[in-house]
Amino acid sequence: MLCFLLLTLHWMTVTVALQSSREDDKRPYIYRCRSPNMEIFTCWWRPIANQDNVTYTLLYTTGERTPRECPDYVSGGINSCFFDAKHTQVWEMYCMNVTAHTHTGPITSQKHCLDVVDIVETDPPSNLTYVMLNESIGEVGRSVLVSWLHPVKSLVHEEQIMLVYELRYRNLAQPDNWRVMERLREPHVEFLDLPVGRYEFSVRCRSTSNKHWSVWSESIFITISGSALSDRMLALILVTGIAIMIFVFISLGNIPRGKGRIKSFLLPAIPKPCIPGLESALLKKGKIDEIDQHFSSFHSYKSPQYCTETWYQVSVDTGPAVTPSSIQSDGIQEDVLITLITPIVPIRPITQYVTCPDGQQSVQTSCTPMPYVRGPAPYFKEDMPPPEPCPAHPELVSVPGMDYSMILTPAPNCEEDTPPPDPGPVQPELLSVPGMDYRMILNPTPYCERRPLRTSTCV
Amino acid sequence: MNRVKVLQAWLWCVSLWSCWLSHAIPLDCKDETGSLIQCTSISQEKLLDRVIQHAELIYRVSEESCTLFEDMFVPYPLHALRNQGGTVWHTKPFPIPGSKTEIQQISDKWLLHSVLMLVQSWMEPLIYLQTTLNRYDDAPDALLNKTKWVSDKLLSLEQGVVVLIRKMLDEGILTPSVFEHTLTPYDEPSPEVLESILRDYNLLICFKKDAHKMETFLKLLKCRQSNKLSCLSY
Repeated sequence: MLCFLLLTLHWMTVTVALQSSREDDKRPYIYRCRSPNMEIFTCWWRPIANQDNVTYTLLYTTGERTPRECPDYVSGGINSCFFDAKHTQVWEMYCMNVTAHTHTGPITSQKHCLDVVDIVETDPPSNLTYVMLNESIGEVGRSVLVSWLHPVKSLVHEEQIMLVYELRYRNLAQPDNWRVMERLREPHVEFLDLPVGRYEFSVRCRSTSNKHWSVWSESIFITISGSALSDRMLALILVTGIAIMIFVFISLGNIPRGKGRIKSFLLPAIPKPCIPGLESALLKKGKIDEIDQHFSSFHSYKSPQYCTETWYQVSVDTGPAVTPSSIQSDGIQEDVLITLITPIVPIRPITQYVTCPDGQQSVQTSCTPMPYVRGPAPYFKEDMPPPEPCPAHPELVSVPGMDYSMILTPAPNCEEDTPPPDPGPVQPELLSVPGMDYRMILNPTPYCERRPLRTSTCV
Repeated sequence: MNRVKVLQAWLWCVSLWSCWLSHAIPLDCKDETGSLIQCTSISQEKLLDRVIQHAELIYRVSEESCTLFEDMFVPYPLHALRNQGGTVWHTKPFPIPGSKTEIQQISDKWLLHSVLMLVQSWMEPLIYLQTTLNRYDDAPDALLNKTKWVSDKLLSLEQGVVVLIRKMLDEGILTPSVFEHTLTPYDEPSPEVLESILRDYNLLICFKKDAHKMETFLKLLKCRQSNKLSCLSY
């Protein structure tokens, strides 16, 4: 197997070598043909080396016709053949070979076939110029329009030879960094905002039907001058302007007299919702009866029920159930259910234990039968004697039929041994009752504060 | 395992060899199939594309010539002549299909032959036009150049169409010198300037129309080559 592989390799290299050896100096060789505009073309061949008194003849055929000799050996230079417009056509391929007539005999080159369209290599674009466009205020660079002409002047219509262009440019400060704009179809290109500096531009082109690029055209140099400071100036102006504005606002805001006016001018107060007939002062300081009277005009308002007469003292049993009523762990559910259904609920006193923030437990009584107040069981400790109730009775009063509840602490003379750690006026405690899926916020601390309802000032 | 490896290596070598060979042998042209044999003729597609390109250019330049002549010589009220049918300048010995339905019904062979006949029929009139234009005192150079160019290109186009016919229809067409022109050349100079201007204007308009016809026929032919079903827009 290995032998076979080696033989194959050897055969391949020999074949390649044989091929390449044919292009030696022993035979002439047509190495290049070019057409500048698809109407004429020239072919060049390499002569045999070290031979004098050798004449060459080039024979060509187009299609199936009889071979003809080269029409012009002179115009293209030494060892060349020039085909003028009469002898050039794009419909059929040319196949040609060169014969060297030496004293030993004629030596013919290999046949070389070509299609005129494929060998088009035009001159580079001509008349490369530029135009500086208007400088805009505040910008550092300038815009430049670079344009050039189609290289083939004898064209009657530019689309005779479709060209694609390529432009390259560099900032002379970085001579190795050529930047190229490729695949340009139009003979002009606009550069927006070139930075300050000195630039070199050049273009080249090729026919769309083949891949031979022309040489790069002669370069043009463009100098762009501008002030680099204008950037900084702009930034400075901007920062100064903003600082001044901030200063003005702050100073205006701090004027005591004008504070209200300016503030109300710039940020007008959002009017609060207004209930006609209701004044905020009434709600803040008025009595419950008056408020009640006012509210009774509202639809579906029901007076809150105060249960001062219905307080019961309940003795604490050593058992899980605290209340004498039928509130048991199962019964709680029932009661809750019942209270949920009927809006007016029987007043039922419930005692519960609430842990004051200072660690003491206090008995809280509440008269609302709503499901807010329930479940003293988890807090019950067996050995716990009934502590003295806090002098303050914060009442969680819920108004049935309404969605809100009020926490009222009527007794103003409640004191505590130790101040609560939290200096806030209200210290609600989030109480969760196991078995229930709600929580209660109770105000265990004996602060005597009425939490007012949301009031509105009718403007 | 060893065998498989050797086989793989051998296949690699063979593929590399074909790469070498393609670089070593001077491939002067490539076939569409990418075969390694030296091709000696241009493919039919390329040929048709080039012919169409030629016809397009001829039409465009004829349009420009017409406009140049009109702006320069034709008095403004007579510009409306261009929209008329244009009097037939010479009788054509063959019917050229005119309407769309007629065009759709004819075959490829007839399309090619029509184009060839059109091209051949305009060669002499264009040469005549060149001579008359030279007689005008202030004919712009651009107009003269364009007319000369068009008449040269027409010759080239004729060559191209002949080669195309040979390729597509396998017919050998004789060169144009054998073809007999059945035209009556206008030899006597016209006594009136306006008459000669109008005659030349008419000629240019007719040529423009015929150039457009040639272009359309060739494009229809190309369309048919690629897709027979959707060539109704022509």
